[in-house]
Amino acid sequence: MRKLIKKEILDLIRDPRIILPFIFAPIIFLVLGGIASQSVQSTVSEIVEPSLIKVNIIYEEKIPQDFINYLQNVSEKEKVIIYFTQKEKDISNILKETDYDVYILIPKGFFEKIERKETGEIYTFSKTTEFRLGSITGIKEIRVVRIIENYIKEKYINSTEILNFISRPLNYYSLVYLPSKNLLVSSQSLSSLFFGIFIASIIILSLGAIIMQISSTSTAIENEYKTLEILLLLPISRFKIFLAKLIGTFIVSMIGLSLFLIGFVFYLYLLFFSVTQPTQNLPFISIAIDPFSLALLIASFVISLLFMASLGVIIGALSNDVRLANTLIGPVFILLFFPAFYIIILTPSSPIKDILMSIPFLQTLIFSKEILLTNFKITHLIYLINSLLIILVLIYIIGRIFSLETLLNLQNKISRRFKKRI
Amino acid sequence: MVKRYGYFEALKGINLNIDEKEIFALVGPNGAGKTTTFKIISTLLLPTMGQVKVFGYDTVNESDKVRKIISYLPEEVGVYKNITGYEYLDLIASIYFGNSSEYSKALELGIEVANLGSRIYDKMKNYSKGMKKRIQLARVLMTKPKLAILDEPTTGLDFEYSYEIRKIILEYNKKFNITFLVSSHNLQEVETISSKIAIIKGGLIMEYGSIDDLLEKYQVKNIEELYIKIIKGS
Ligand SMILES: Nc1ncnc2c1ncn2[C@@H]1O[C@H](COP(=O)(O)OP(=O)(O)O)[C@@H](O)[C@H]1O
Ligand SMILES: [Mg+2]
Repeated sequence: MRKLIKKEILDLIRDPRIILPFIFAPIIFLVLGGIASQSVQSTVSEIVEPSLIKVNIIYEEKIPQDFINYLQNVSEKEKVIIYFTQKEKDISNILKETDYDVYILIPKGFFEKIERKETGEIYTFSKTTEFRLGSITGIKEIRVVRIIENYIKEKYINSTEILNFISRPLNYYSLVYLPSKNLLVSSQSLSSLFFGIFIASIIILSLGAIIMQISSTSTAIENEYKTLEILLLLPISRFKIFLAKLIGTFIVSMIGLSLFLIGFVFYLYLLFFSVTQPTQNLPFISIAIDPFSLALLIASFVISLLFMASLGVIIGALSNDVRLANTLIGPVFILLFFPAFYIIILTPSSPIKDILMSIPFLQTLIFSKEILLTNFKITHLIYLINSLLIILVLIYIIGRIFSLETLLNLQNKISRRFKKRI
Repeated sequence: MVKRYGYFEALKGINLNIDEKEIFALVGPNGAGKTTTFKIISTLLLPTMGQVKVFGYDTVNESDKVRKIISYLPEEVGVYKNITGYEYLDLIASIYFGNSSEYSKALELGIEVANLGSRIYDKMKNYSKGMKKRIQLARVLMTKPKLAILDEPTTGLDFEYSYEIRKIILEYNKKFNITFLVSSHNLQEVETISSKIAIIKGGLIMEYGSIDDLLEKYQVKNIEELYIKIIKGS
C-alpha cells in the first residue's frame, strides 16, 4: 500500500503537466496581488497623506461671508483650494467646462435651514473618465464635507441646541459626473456598476478560454486520429485548409455564443438603467449607450473570438494529442490573463493602453469597461482596425507554417519537453 | 534521397524508379523507412537531400500539382468520428470535382469500393478497423489518381478484408490504369499483387527489380527465400 502511494506520487510529480498549474498558481496570485495592492495603495495613501485638492463650491443664492472666511482660513491646514461659482447655467455645463477634483453644490435655502438648526443637504460631484477600484471611494469628497460640517459645528458649538443637529448637521449626496456621456450617477451605483462590469469581464475571459478549448481540441484531434495527413494532402492550399478549420470553429462558437452576446447587451443596458435613476431635482441628460459604441463593442467581441479560435488552432496543431493541447492552453491563457486582470482592476496609462487596446480580446475587455463611462470616438475605431490587422497577420503566418514538415518539427520539440516522463 | 529527423538519418540514400501503371511494392522490416519514403513522395515531408519527381512534377517545388494527381493511404488510418462514411466520401468528391458530373461518378465509385451497404450512413466512430480501411481506400480510389500510395494497406486486418483489398488494388490497376505504390511486410501479398519490388532496410534500398529477375539473380525458389537472403546477407 505505501509502495503504491509512493508510485502514485512519483508518477504524478514527474508529469510536468500536473505540476505546471501548481507552480503557476502562486505566481498568479503574486502578480494579481501586486496589481490589486497598487490600486488599494493609491486609495490608502490618499487617506494617510491627503493630497492638495481643488474644490469648486457652486451656490444657487448668496452665501454668508463668515462661511467664505471660514473656508479660506482652514484651506491651508486642510490642503484644499476653494473656488466659488454662482450657479447660472445647468450644473452639467459647469462640470463639463471646468476641471476640479471635487464640486460641491449648495442648493437654495441651505443656510436658512442651518439657521433653523435643521440638517442641511448638499451634493458632491467628482468627474471621472476612467474606472478603477480607487476611483469610486469618494475620499476627497468626504474631506470637503467634513470641513463644511466643522464650520457648522463651530458656529453652534457654544449654543445648547438640539443634539441631533449637532451630531449630524449635514446630509450629503455623492455623485459622479461622466463627461463623455454628460451624465450624473450616484457614487454608490457607480461602484455596483464597477462590480457588474467586473463580473462581465470574468465571463468574457472564460468564454475566450472555452473557444480556445474548442478550436484546439478540434485541431489536436486531427493529429490524434491521424486525419491531418489526409487533410493536408487534399488538392486545396494549406492556407485554405487552415482557414476552413478556423472559420468552422468560429461559426460553431458564434452559434453557441450568439445567445450570450444578446444577453450581454441586455446586461449592459440593465446595468446602465440601474445607475441612471434620477435623484431629486438634478438634471439627467442620459444618452445611455450609443449605437456606434455598441457596434464597436460587438465587432471587437467577434474579433476576439476569431483571435482565441486561431490561438486554439495553433495550439491544437502543435499538439499530437488532445491531452497535450489542453495542457498547453493553460500557459497561453495565463499570458493573456495577466494583462486582462490588469485591465479589469486598473486603468492603464496611455502608451501601455494604446498597445493593449490594439490586441484583440484585451481590447474587448477595455471596451466593455469603457462603454459605460464614455461614448466611443474615432480612436476606438482605429484600435479596432489595428486588432483586425493583427488577426490577419496572425492568420497569414499560421497559414504559412501549416505544413506537416514544420508542424512535426514543432510537435516533436513540444512533446519532448512535456512528455519526458510518460 | 536522404531524410533526417533531427540527427537521426531515417533514409540514408534511396534511389527508386517506378514505371507508370505498375504495382510497385516496398518491402522491409519495421523501422526500415517505408513510411518516411511514402510521406516524402506524397509531399507531406521534405527530403533533407535529393529530390522526388512524380509524373515529372517535383514534390517540393510543385507540390500542388503532385497533390492533384496522387492519393495517399496512411499507415494508421484515421476517421472523423462524428461524420458518416457517406458524408465523408461526399465531402471528398466535392472537394475534388466541385459540382461537375464527375462528382456523382466519383461518389458512386467510392460507395462501390467501400462496399459497406447501409452501414455507410453510420457514424464512422462505430466502424471496425477493417471498415475504416475500406472507407479510406474508397477515398483514395474514387478520385482515380494517377498514383495511389498505400502504406501497409492490409496490416492488422483479417484475412477476408485483406483479400478484398488486394482484389480491389488489382482491379483498379487494370480498370483505370492507376499506378500503385504499396508497402508491406507480408511477402505472399507482395507476390500476388506486384511484379516489381524494392527491399528496404535501415534506410537503404538493398535490392530492387522485378521479382522474376531477382529470383534468378539470387538463385532462390521463392520470394521468402529471396527476402531472407537479401536481409541477412547485408
Ligand atoms: N517524426 C519522426 N521523428 C523521428 N524519427 C522518426 C520519425 N518518424 C519516423 N522516425 C524513425 O525513422 C525510422 C523509419 O521509420 P518509418 O519510415 O516509419 O519506418 P517503417 O514505415 O518502414 O516502419 C524509424 O527508426 C523511426 O523511428
Ligand atoms: Mg511504416
